[in-house]
Amino acid sequence: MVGELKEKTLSQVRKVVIGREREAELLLVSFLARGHVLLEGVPGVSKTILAKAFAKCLGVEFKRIQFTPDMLPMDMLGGIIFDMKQRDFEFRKGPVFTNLLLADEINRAPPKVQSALLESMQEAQVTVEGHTEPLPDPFMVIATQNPQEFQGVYPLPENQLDRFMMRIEMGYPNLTTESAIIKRNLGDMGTQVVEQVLGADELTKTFREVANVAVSDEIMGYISLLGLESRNESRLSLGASPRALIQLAHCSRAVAFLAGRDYVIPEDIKEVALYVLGHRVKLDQSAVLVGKVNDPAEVVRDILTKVKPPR
Amino acid sequence: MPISLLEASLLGADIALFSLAGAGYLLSRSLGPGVVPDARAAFELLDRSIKRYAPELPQGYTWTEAFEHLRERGVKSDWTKMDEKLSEYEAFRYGSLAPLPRDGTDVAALAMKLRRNPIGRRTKGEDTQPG
Repeated sequence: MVGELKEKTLSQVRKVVIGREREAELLLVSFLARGHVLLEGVPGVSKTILAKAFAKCLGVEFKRIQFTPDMLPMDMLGGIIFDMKQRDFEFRKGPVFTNLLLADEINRAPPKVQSALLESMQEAQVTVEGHTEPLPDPFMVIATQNPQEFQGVYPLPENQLDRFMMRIEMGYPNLTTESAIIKRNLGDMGTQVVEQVLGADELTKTFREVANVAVSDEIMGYISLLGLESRNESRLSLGASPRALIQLAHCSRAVAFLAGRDYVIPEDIKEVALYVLGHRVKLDQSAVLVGKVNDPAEVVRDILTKVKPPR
Repeated sequence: MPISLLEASLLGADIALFSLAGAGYLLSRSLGPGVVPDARAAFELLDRSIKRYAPELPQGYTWTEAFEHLRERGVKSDWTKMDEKLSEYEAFRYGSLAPLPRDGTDVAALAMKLRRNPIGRRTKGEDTQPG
């Protein structure tokens, strides 16, 4: 059943998205770990279709919000309106009330809208004018952004980035994959061919099983050491936060579950550490200026090779 | 010039000491894997052997990475069996329910094999060069 879930999901996603198995797998890990994902890449690299196909195969409700600079928080959250028939005020739910929300081009929205998304992502609830409404369960945000855009955008601040369990960079496909994509797209291609692989009951059971995956004290110690090393690293001005380490532990549980284990091993942590920590650490500008480093991922990789896991 | 009694006894003592040390060394080299009490001891032994055999491996290596590295270096072993032994050991080490596997013979045999092949020596198609 466990191995099947991964294979079934990937085979469904593969029907509409070619060459994005790794990204789909990471989305599944994040979903099972109840985290949110930031997909980063230039336009046209299948970010949106991947999110749509993923939502469809899991059988969860999906909504998409296209973020724009003139957007207001209530466009996303909903608001209090006056019902003429009832002669009373009522809360009208916005598009954030869904299981899987695709926040397209999140860095185009002004900071007020971005921060309104914070509560939803962290607390799984929405508060408007003192009225608090819980979001559906499960709730996952898949946000996309184009790292090449500098005009008319509002870069996500560190605290917002920290809310994303993973950042997945989506580069250009290789030559063979690209040819296959073109061929596929010349025909009729839509997410309607994607079939649901999991029922609601199975989904609840799966979440419960992931939450029961054991994380030993030694593994927790290893995660803490990775965090400490990132804070002591001279090439970084900002290391991993405790929240980042908690999310790393959650993620490694999901990885272990998908591998058919009920316990986490050091490989599970190494497999996702780059995606969980990469966007949370900040390079030290003096180290960048002297050419010591130019990519946070490089530092995270070094930390992983330096810190001894329990063996 | 004839050697004195003292010199002769010192020479005898030297020979005896060196013989003992040599015998100890040879004995340690020929020790079979049967001396390890369980899988934990066997994996500890293997860890030490890997560090000596493949010093190019970074400190943060995991068992899977180490096995992969040894395979790439052409170390001959029943890797399917080794993977099974590793899974059993990890279930005990990181899980909460599995018991400690008692049999560490195969893992210890691999550890001893690595010890017998120091860096730089090539034996029967196995690459023992670092990197």
